[in-house]
Amino acid sequence: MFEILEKKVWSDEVPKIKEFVVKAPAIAKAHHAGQFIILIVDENGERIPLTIADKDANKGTISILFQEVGKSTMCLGMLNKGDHIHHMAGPLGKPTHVEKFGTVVCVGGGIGIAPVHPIAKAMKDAGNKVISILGARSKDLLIYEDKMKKASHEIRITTDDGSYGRHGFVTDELKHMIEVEKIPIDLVVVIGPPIMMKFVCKVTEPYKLRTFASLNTIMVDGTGMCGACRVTVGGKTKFVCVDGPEFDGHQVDFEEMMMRQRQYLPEEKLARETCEKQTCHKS
Amino acid sequence: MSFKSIKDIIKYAIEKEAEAMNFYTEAGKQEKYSAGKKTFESFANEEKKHKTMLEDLDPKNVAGFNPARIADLKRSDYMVDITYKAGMSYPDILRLAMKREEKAKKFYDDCVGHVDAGGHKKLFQMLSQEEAKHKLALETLYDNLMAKGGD
Amino acid sequence: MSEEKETKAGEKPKKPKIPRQSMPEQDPHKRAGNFDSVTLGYKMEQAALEASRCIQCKKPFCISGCPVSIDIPGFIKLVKEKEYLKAAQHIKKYNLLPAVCGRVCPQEDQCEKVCIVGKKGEPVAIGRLERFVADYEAAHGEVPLPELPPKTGKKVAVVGAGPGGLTVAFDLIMLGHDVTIFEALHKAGGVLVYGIPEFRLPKAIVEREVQYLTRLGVDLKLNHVIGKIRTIDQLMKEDGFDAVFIGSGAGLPWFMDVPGENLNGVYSANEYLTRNNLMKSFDFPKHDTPIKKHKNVAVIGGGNVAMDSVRTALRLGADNAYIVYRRSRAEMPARKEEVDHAEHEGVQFKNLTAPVRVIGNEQGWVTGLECLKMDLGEPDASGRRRPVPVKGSEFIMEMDAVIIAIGTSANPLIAQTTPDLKLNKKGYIEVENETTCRTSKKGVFAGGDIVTGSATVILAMGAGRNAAKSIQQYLQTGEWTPNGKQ
Repeated sequence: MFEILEKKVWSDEVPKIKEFVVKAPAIAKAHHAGQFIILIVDENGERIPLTIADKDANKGTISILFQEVGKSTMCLGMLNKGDHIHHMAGPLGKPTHVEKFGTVVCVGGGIGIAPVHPIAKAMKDAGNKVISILGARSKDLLIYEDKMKKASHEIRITTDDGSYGRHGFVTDELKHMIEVEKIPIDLVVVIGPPIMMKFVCKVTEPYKLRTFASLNTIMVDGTGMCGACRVTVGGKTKFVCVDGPEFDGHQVDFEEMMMRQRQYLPEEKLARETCEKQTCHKS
Repeated sequence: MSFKSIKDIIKYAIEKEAEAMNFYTEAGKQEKYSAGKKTFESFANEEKKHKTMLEDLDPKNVAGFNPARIADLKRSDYMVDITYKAGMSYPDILRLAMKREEKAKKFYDDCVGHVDAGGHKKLFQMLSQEEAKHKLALETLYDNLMAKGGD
Repeated sequence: MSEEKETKAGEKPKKPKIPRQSMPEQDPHKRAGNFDSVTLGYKMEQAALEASRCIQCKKPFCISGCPVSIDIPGFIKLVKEKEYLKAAQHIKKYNLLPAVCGRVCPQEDQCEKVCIVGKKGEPVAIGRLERFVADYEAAHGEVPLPELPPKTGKKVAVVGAGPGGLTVAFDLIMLGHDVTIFEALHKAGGVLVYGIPEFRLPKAIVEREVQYLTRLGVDLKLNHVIGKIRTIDQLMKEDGFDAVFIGSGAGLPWFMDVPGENLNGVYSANEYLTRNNLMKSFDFPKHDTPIKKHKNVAVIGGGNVAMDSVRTALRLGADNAYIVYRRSRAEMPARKEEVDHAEHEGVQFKNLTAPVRVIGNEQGWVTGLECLKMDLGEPDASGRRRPVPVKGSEFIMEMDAVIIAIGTSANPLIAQTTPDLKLNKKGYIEVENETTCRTSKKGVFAGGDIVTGSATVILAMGAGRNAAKSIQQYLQTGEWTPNGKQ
């Protein structure tokens, strides 16, 4: 059982965005940037992968941030400070490859900003110049602005509706940096919705600009056993849970990945409706 | 590709074996873990043997060669092509090697179809048969492995 | 015929022969629609009658046929005397998991294969008797705990709570050591909970047997992925463990490397079974993990995992559930009993058939499976007739799901973070030999699928038994000289 020490609601607009600080000393101690956990809300729950957004190894805590898009995340969101998450396994996946590259651009889209945060921090600690681009649909939905400011040398913001920062997408800002400002960039790290990652990779590809994309696929065990998370990278099947979650973005078959992510949409809808109708079994 | 003499053909085949030997040797060097290293080293050794065999081949003996029937399990033929990546699993390494032999065999088979001269034809048949043997050896290894897994 | 004459002419008057008692089963048509146990177990009278068929050999072969060397005649004698509880306690001295082994062990290849009674007729149904006594004990209140020896002060870490790890833990706690099991998943049991379906092995049984272990004082840490949360080195250097047993089991599933394998509706057997067994997705949406209910399902492979998958597909409501296997029925590694059960339940077998391509629609879902007919070729040097494709025999089967059950590779997590642990060329952990289970790293032992590749529950338990003996020897002497040399 893992106790929730703090709860923060980032956005009350559906789908809601919430953050927990959870007591998990062993995980906090072993965690490296880029790794994720698998949690189960209660005994009938499913195993859901979530990236670790922050940690405090001294206090023995980790932060997880999620959007209530399905039944499991909705049930998770119903928990409060003092409640417990039944199971949590981690840290899983390979840590981000961190070294002194030079100038690193960290791109986070939507709640993808949260998992980018530890990577930006680690890149900065390794002596890189870190410029972060944060994208959100609107100002209200922007998360982790302060934390990202601290973790980067410079941050740039884009919103789809123009309510804050550049009016447009993260790709517009990135393009501007490369083509207009001509900033020499050594590495791009991107986390966000698959479609956004795909387009970021498209922007950097012609410049042969090394790009890491951190993938969030369907997983069951998350420990290298089931193969549900497989993706094609460079023409070869890879397993996100043990070979990833980070891959060379230019090699990833995003179309296939998005197709595979749609597999359980009808079931997810059914689960959500059942959950909404009969108050959740996890209240 | 045009070959002027039997010697040219043998020279070309030796180069191909040397290329394969280097490929496996290099792959072995890139492997971090003992498992992959060992497999690639053993394949490099095999290729070295093939190379030596060709180097010792007396062109005079080619004319008397009679092709034998080598079984073809065709395990490789229906698989998607695969490229080398460090840290490949054992079955993937076998698939990679099988595909290489399949392609080599196909190359010599094509050559057989494109030459008229009896001596050249015989030599290409001979080379194709060698590759067929290698392919069978690898496919047998793979078939044994997969049979154990219940495929 | 001559045997019968001999019996008649023999000096001792022979009792009329009691036939091997068959075990009641759920009706095949009914059971294909539910996840309840297929076989129902002996009744008390049946068990006693079956036990009376054992001739109590002076030199019993059955014991040597058992990977964990259970005193088989000993427990059967107690069953015959209707001392069922005593019989159960007697087995427990040798085997922690009798209710499991009685159900899933391939007895026909082990103890029952060498049973003397079986030489002239059908062997004693040892497996069914083992299951009976274990179930009887469970039905009759809490199992008393054996007395434990004084603590030795030695600490052993067991990685993986599968059959191998559980056996090691049991043997070592009984020797007075402190034992901690680290399990990656949220439930203990390994393949017993994620792999073998409810209808073959009810999960309540596994839970009960694991509970027995924790009652004995074994510390069970769930959700601990060793190699990630702690490394083997950290366990030994920082956490004070004197020895480590690695029984982390099978790893990533193999795929066929044919086109279309990443289409939606293609699963590894591991995924399909884990969803259904560990996560109970057959009970979706009551349990949150979903599973698709496909109409036409092809399972590729001929092993036990393939049989479990195809029978699960039937129970989830498939109209047509096929086994597609490139070899002939004789070569299937699955237990005959499981193949028969599958057939009775309506599974359709496409043997000598090899898939060459998975076909999908524009939305990325499976619509068909293209196969080739195979023929057994001429025997090779080893005398084996291998399947070869029949030219031009391609055909397409309409399908909406393809489940691949052709084996698994080794899990890479521990090896990646333990560089001085030697692996063999297939990626499995190299051990000195099956008896010592010693790895290349001092104080570290390994056994089960992570050493041998996919095998059976009982073989992993046998490895666990050997490893425990070897660990005990190491803990007592502190010596790490392979075969006494070096």
